[in-house]
Amino acid sequence: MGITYKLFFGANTLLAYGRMSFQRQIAYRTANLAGLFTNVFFLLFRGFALGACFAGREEIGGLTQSQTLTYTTVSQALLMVIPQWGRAEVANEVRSGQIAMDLCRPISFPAMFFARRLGGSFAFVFLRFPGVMLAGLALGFLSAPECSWGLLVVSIVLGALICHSIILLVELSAFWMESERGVRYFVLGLSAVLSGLIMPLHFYPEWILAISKWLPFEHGLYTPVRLYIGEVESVREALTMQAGWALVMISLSFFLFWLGTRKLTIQGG
Amino acid sequence: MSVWAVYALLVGASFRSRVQYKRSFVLETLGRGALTGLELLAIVFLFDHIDAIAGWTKWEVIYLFGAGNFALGVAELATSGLNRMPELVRSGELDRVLVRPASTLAQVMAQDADFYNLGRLAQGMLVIIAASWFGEFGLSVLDWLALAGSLICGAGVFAALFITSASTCFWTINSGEAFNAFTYGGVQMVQFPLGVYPRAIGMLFVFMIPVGLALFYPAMAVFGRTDPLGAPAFMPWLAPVAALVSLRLAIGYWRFGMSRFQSTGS
Repeated sequence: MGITYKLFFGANTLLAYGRMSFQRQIAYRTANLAGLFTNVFFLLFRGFALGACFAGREEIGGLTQSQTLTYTTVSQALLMVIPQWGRAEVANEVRSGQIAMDLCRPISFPAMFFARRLGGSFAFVFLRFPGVMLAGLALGFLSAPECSWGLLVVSIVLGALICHSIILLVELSAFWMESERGVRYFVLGLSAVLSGLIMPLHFYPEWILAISKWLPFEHGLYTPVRLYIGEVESVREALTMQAGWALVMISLSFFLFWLGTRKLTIQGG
Repeated sequence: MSVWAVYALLVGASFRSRVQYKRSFVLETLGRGALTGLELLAIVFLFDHIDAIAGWTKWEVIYLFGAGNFALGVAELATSGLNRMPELVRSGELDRVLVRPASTLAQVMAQDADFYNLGRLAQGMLVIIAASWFGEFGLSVLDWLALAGSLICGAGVFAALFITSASTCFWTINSGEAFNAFTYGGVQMVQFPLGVYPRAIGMLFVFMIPVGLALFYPAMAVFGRTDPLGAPAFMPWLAPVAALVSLRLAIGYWRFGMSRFQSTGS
């Protein structure tokens, strides 16, 4: 009994939360199809636009056209698995006071958040990833991976953890502001650029890359995609950096949550 | 009261309610502006490596970016109340709108209008001004009028798409999420010259969903670029027709949905 029981019970509950959010995500069939449709459209636009830039050119920023197209496909395929934005669930709960209900549960709120989000991410591994990859293949964008799938999976999991913590941190800012939406859009803009979603980070000038080194964004989506196209000097270093950032960001979100709850006043009714 | 008077009144009320929280309002408008601004940064840096895309120079492409965002921003601002349609239908709140003696569409569009979209709109406008300043396009007054008209037509087409998307709420509970591919996808598409895409996509966004016809063709004519689809020379003049027809169809679709709508009541 005691600590072993508690850990076991906690893990079981978290798994159940993950499973529930997985099931909820796959339940909406039309919404999932519509999402896939939109994702593939964005792949078309980004792919052809970036592809056209290579007219009469061998490489841009060290990437070939085929690498860039593969990059675009894989980043679009992973976009929902390693998401860059949240749905204001937590922020709305904080504003409405609903969060009091979650605080009553005998389980850590941030842990519950991560379990739910990872469950959703896992659903998109089946709902989105294969569809977009197949579309990329059909369009002639996609080449084979330049590293093992095992390492890719590790990198994707770490990337997802980093991005979910960024999302949680944005949500938690609602503890201190009437509306967290300004912060949300600002972070969204930063991550759209620095995660390499709009175009590969290779295309940006040195000074942007120098700033990016000190921020968590590139370790979420960019690193796994870079591994896929084989543009990483040291795989070990890339994965270590990811693990380090994941640890820092997760700890930070637990800490900020604790800080927020100390300040929180719920008005009963 | 006319449709427009109701619309203006409700929009004014939403605006006043939003600016109550000044800090939030400023932060959020800036945040949205930053979001599109950072995307523009990517295009600027892309041109560090290349001179032109499909024959279009840097500032011409940047104009396209600004035009797309401005038009979408105007449409978003005008129709943002429609975002709440799924919720209105689900909760039965739409019934309260229906019993009022005023246009339903105008009421829903104006209620809780989302003024943070001013960020995208203002940013699009700034980008257009910057592009014409640095790009030294050397355009005549008539050219500018044509471009201004094109922006209005683009906004009309986007607004029609938002109305169509919201109208699907009368049949399904998920409001046509697939339309994101055409609205947010459309603004992504017009950021680059039509010539970079395969012919089928170009045709789709000119003839079926005329975002390209409204925003790309007039710019192409003004900047004197070649038409990738090889369409007749009068194409740019069809932009207003495209906008009017799409708005007409969208409103017709909304009315059709409304006539079939049965509230569950509660």
